[in-house]
Order: sequence, then structure tokens, then C-alpha cells
Amino acid sequence: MKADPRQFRQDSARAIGDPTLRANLRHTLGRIRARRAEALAAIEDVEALRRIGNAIKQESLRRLPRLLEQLEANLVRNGVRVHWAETLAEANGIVLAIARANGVRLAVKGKSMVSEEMELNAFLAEHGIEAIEADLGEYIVQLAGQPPSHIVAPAMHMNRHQVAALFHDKLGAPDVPDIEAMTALARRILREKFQRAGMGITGVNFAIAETGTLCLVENEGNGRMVTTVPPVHVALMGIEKVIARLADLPPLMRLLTRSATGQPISTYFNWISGPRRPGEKDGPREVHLVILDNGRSAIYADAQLRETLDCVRCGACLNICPVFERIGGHAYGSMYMGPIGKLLTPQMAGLGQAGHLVGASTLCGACFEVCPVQIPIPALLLRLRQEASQPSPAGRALVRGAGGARNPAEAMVWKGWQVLHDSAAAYRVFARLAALAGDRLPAFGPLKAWARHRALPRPAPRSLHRLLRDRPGE
Amino acid sequence: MSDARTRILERLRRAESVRPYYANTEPAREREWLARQPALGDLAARFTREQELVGGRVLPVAGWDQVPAAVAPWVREFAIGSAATGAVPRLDPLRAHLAGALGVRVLTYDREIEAQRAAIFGVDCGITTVLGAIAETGTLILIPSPAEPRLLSLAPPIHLALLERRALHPTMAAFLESGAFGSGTPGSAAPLVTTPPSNLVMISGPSRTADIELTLTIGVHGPKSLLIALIG
Amino acid sequence: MGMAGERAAAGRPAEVYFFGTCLVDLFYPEAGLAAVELIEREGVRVIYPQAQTCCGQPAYNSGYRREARRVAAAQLPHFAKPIPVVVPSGSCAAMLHGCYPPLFAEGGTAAEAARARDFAGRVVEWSTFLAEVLRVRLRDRGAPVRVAYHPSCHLLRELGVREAPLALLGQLAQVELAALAGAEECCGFGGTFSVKQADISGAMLADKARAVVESGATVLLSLDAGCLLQIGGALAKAGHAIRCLPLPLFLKERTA
Repeated sequence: MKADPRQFRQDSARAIGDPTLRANLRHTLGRIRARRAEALAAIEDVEALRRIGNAIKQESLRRLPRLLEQLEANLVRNGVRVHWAETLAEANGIVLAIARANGVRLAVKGKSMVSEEMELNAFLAEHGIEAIEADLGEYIVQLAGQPPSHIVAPAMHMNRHQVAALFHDKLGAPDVPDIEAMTALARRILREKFQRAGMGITGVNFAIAETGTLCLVENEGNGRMVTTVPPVHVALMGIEKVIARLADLPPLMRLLTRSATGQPISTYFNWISGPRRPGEKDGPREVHLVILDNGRSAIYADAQLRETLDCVRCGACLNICPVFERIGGHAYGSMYMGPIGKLLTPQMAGLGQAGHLVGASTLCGACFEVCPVQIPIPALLLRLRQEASQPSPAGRALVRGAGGARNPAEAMVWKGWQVLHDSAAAYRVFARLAALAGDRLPAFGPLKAWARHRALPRPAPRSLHRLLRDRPGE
Repeated sequence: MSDARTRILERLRRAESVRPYYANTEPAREREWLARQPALGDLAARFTREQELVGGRVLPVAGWDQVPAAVAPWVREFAIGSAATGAVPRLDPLRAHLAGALGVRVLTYDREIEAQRAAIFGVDCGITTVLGAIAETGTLILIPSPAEPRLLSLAPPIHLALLERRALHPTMAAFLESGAFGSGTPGSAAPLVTTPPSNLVMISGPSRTADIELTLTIGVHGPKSLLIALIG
Repeated sequence: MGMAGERAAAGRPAEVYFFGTCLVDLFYPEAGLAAVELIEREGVRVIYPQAQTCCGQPAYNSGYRREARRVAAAQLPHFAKPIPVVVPSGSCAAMLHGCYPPLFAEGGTAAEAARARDFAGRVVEWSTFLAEVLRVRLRDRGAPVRVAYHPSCHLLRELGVREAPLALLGQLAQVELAALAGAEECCGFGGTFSVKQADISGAMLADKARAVVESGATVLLSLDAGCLLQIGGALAKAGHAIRCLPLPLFLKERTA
């Protein structure tokens, strides 16, 4: 499966027509929504907590360059090597150089969205280095040769029967849909990989500037394995992950795990502040951090779109999204899917490539309602829709590919719409014609698309304007 | 790579003064919010309940001298044939009891992992002390050290943790305020004066996943069982 | 939402503007008339500027802000008096209340921006105006009926109006409110989304229509004409006899 956001219409149509996928999505999303709701019902005043989460992210972003420098200085003091990458190619090159310097043939990975962004596995494979995903969901989709379909639950699109068939096919396991047995098999296989691997690769959930600490949230223990057993640990993060203080962690964690999986806290919460120290018996000899930009600094420059960078990757907006529920994650053709993906992908890949994604929303606002850091996703989608067709006047930061999704025919339609609605006289004629057309409206163009799923709407014979004008006594 | 660093930071500095479109004036602090939350009640009871909700087992033990006898039923229930500890003198009575009366093969994780990997991955149970715990979420806090390395609580299928009741903190925030992580004051403008520990891990229950059909499954890569003696 | 509370505190006005919205004007004029008459019945004079057309949301939501601004600017002069502007649609009220100020702040003249802010501050959603400002008392004169209510997304999540429509319905003794599965989930309309992403919209709509049918209601009510065209269109196409009505029309019929 090749990820390509331009295929959205075809891929989403295929997903809608796939009853197994639809059933899998309904089942898992139903469960995850219930768990989130239950976890948040157990604490008082969630709204105030969301405002605190938002305030922490805003304050961190406000001081972003200084915090990144502070983080770097403290990490270096702690013995971590810090690398900076403007582009995906640079980031891949840095990881490869570290691997080569250490003679790495096999790398094990924890979940990392940045590594998906980099398409790191494929890149390393091209250079003779095998990278194995250790998160169970990531391991499953890697075996299947697919990208993750969800940022938290990568294999949510598959059911146990499909996983069993996959394990049978790829691992020679009996084709039995026993979740415990399949989990045990993955445990056995990956335990051996952890011990053989020359390098562990992870993402970062939060990086704390004041101490030089990288925080990693996980449930399986794969994050601990990957950052403990191999001799080298490489952490990958986007520039927006830095927060100022240790004291910022508790409220953000409180929001993150409850929003993501409905847990009060994840099973493991790792704070990594350096490599193995003298006297310590285990832990990596080297710890590296790669700080990636890849378009984020451009997002940062826009006062409104900057809020995109508040995201803590909890996946709650995907889980609640009625569009995501119908099409799943793969249709978005990007490692960031769902509502937050509709913001991130077009800003990173450019509106020319992915501008239509910002239109694939009803603006129902469910995503904003659940976002633990209050990202105003619908408002930002509207802003990007504007940038896609009518780039902002000079003086505002330019969104990548602005104007790139402009459709001249659509622009003419809206110009025509304006002419019919900005004068009372023109509108009166338009309304009169619509009324005359009545149910004789021909089903062409947009009406044809409408008529596939619904009866055509029927303009009333007399408009409200006329009803009120013609009332006795008016 | 310094070029990338310079260019990224320059772009960010140019945009630093941009005023957010949606300015949030909420103080970014959890303290007042926490004060409005329902009381946690007895910390040990809360810790036990939360830990049991995620599949951990908690056993109250009166004192350190009671630990060897108290954990004996677990040794039988979980068929623990071998166990590893760090080089911690306080655990000597427990080690002696395990090796003696209970017939458990006891080894010490006191050399670097490169020399002991097979042994640590092959043992039934890792035994550790812990720095403290968070009652609200039923969370153990471990700072692995030269005496008690990281893998003790990770590689063996069973982790037996020894937690002192007086080390219970109500919340994560309270733990941070205790200053146990680094010796500076969290949140103050002054930098921490000591280097933070290379690794800290918070553990809430045995290893788990829900990656297939969101069905909870215990024991993926970490321990399948988490046993906690709550001492004091 | 603040707008409900502020209006309530301001007390009962002697007269109000009515912003009918283009969808009501063209597709549900009887509902617009009912909405006006229910206000007038409480002794409040209703001014309906004949020069009004559309709030501009269709273009605004499609990213065509210049065109939206032109149409929005054409509305403002006709609502100049310092009296409330009542709107029988959650979506259009959200546009007028929430989007006009930024729309003119980023592109209009200073005078237009000031006028837009003043206008936006006077916008009141219709059910909120009836339930919380006029505090109407409704006497049900209809036969027993089972209805379902679709709380449209913008009404619910942009304006935060959850209780007012239910409070009005709750006054009708013979009306039973059916439980609607996934009630707060979007019906898939989304304006141009319904034709640009017709397949996704259709999949969302199919689930919504099924929930309505399974609720056992014979009438579906909503405060957004777009959602009613969408859901009603699906039910009609499938041959279901469920009536899909704007809430004002239903209330008027029951209490006439």
C-alpha cells in the first residue's frame, strides 16, 4: 500500500465499501470512546484541566527557541548527543551515520510518529539495516507491509482473524485467532531481537528543558526494552515536543493517557536523562536525540496555525471523528490521519499535494470538544481552506503550497454565488427562479452527487420573504 | 549539522514574538486544579485499589523483617524457581530465606549486562526496592542504580517490588515537589544543580497491550506479573 | 454560551430583528413564518428586513472569504438598530455570532469591523431566545406523538445550546421524546461536504437515518435546515414516512 494523500477520494470510497474494515472500526472506536469517557468522568472539572494543558503548550511554544537551547545544553551535560535536522533526508542521514559508526545491522523500534514521517524503516533497509517494530500493533502492520492506520493503535483496522492469518502466513503460526497466543508469539520473537539489536529507536512524548529529560509513554515494555538493552539509543522528536518544567508533566500526562486510551496513567512512563553511567550495569552506552523540523518552524511562524503544534498525539480526535470512523486511517494517505492529520499533512506536504484533505470535514467540532489541549481544529481547517484557494494577504506567514488547491471552476461558482447574494434584487430573482423550478430541478453536477444518497430538495413555491411581505397588515 | 541547528533556531527566533491568535491567560499550573479534586482518602488503600485495577497484586507487610515470610506464598503460587536481586544488603534476609527454606535459586545482578544477559533474561523473578509510589494512579517509581539495574524490573516475567508505605505520595505533582528527582526545585528559574538520574521509570501494573481489537492482554514485553509488598 | 446569558440578563425586548437564513427562505418558509409568529405571540414586534439574503457561511466554509465578506457586508446595514437579531438556525447563528468579527477584522474596514462586532453581539439563536429570554409557556393541543430530536453540531458545539430546544419540547405534554442512538454525532451534511465528499457523507447519513428509523419516532426535529434536508432526503429516498421538520414549525402546529 503506497501512502498518497492525493488518492483520498478513491481510497476513502474503497474503505466505505469494505464491510470488514467498517465493522472493525466500529468495534474498536466504540470501545476506545467509552474508555476515554469513563476515565474523564472520574475527575472533576476536565474543562479547566484542558485549559491548563493548552496554557502549558502555548507557553512552551512561546519560548520554543530558548527551551530547545536549554534542552540541548542540559542533555549534553547529561551525556546525550544532540543532532538537528531540517529535513527528513537529514534526519535519516543522521540515524544512518550513528548506525554505521556502531556497526549496527539490526535496530529495534518503539512507536515513533516521527520515524513514520521519515519512512525510516524503508530508508534503513535500503542501506542494509533491518529495523523491526517492537510495539505489537506496529509489528503487526510491519508484517503486513502496511503503514499504521492510527497514531496510537496502529493495527486498529484489523481484527483477530486477520492478524491470525497474517501470523500464519508470515510467521508460520497456527491460524488460530487467539489474542493471548499471538501476543505470546510476538513476545518470544521480539525478546530475541531486543538482545541481538545494535540500536534502539524511539520517539519522544515530552522533552523537559530544565532537566534534559526525554519522556516516553508506553504500555507494553517495548519502550523500556528498546531504551535499555541495545548499546545505542536514538530518540527522534519534532521541535514542538519540548516543555519547560518537570511541573508541566503531571497535568499533561493526566490529559494524555486518559484521552488516548482511557488510562489514568500508562503502564510505563520512562524518563531518560542520559546513557549508562559509570558503575551502572545496564542501559545504552550512547544516547542520541535527533530534533526534527520538517516544516514545523513554518507552522510556528503563523500566529493561528501555530496551535497545530500543541498536539500531544493522543489520537482522541481520530477516535471521535465521524469521518475517520467511516474510512479508517489508511485513506488519508499520510502517517498523520483524522482531524489532526488534516491539519498536519497539508502544512507539511503542502496544500497543492494535500489541500483537499482540509475539505474532507463537516466541521462538526467533535474533535475540538475532545482535544486535551484545546486545538481549535475546525477553525484551523477553515483557515487552511482559505489558504488553499485564497492565500492570505502579504504580511501573514505563507502556508506551504498556498493557493495550490485553487480550482478555477469552483472560484467562479463562488463568485456567482456572491453576485446572487450581495444584492437584494439579484437574490429576489434567484429565489423566484428556484421556486419556479420546484421539483423540476435537474439532477446534474452537485445535485447528482446529492441524489445518490438522498431525494432532491424541493424549493417551496413561496419564499419566507414573500410570505412575510404578503401577510395581512404588512 | 550545526547549520541545520542555526537555521532552525533563527527561523524560530524570528517568529518568537508572534502573538498567539488564541491567547490563553490560564496559569499553566495544576496545583489549584488539584485542590478542587475529590480527596484521595487513605493513600495505601488508594494505591492498592488502583494497582489491582491494572492487574498488580499488593500485599501489606508489617515490616522489613516480615517480608521473607510474607512473600513465601507468592513463591509457591507463581512457581518461582529462580530469582535475581541487585547488590542490596537490605535484601539479604529475603535472599537467604528464598535460597534456604523456599529452595529458590538466587542470583545477584552485579556485573554489566554484557556478562549477565542470558541469566537476567532467563530468571523467573526480579526483585527490587522502589524509590516511592503515587497513590492516585497506583504507580511505582523506580530509579535504577548501580546496585539495582534497570533490567531487574523488566526482563524477568515476574517483578516483585518492595515498597515502603511512607514512600507513598498522593500525586505525581507531590512526588516532584518532594525533590526526589534531582536536587533543584522543579519549576524554579534556577537550573537543577545535580545531574538527574540517567533513568527513572514509573510502573503501573504488569506489561499490557490492547493492540488487537482493543482487547486487553497482559504480559507483552515486560513482566506478566507485578507483585508488590507494601511495607510498614 | 455567553450570548444566551447576556440576552437573558438584558430582559425582554420590545422588538427584534429576524434573520431568516437562506435555506429556511427557500426550503422551509413555513417554519420561518412559524418562528416569527411564536415570537410575536409573546408580544414582541418582529422586524424582517426584506433586503437580507444569506449569512455567507457557504462561501466562508469553503475558504472563499472575500465572497463571504461581500455577502456578509450586504446584510449588516439592514440590522442597524440596537436590538437582538434572532436566528432560527444553529449553524447560521454560529456564523453570525462567531465568525463575523474575525471575518471583518481580517479584511473589512474599521467601520465594518466595529459594525460586525456590534451585530455579532446581538445575535441570539431562536430556541434560546424563546426558552431563556421570553421564557415562553407552551400548551400542547396536539395528539400523542413520538418525536426524535437531532441536536445539530454547530448549535451544540459552537453555540453550546443543548438544553433550550429540549426545554421547549419538554413543555408539550403529549410529545414523547424518543432516544436517538448517536444523537450528538454529525449527520454528514457539512454544506458542500455533502456533495464534495458524497460517499463519506452518504455513509454518515446512512447511520443517522437508521438511528432515526430505529428510534420509532414518526417526526424528526432539528434547528438546522441543512441537516433536515440531508436526513429527510435519505429517509424520503428510502421510502420512510417520517416527517422531518424544523422545530419552530412543529411547536407552532402543536400549540396553534
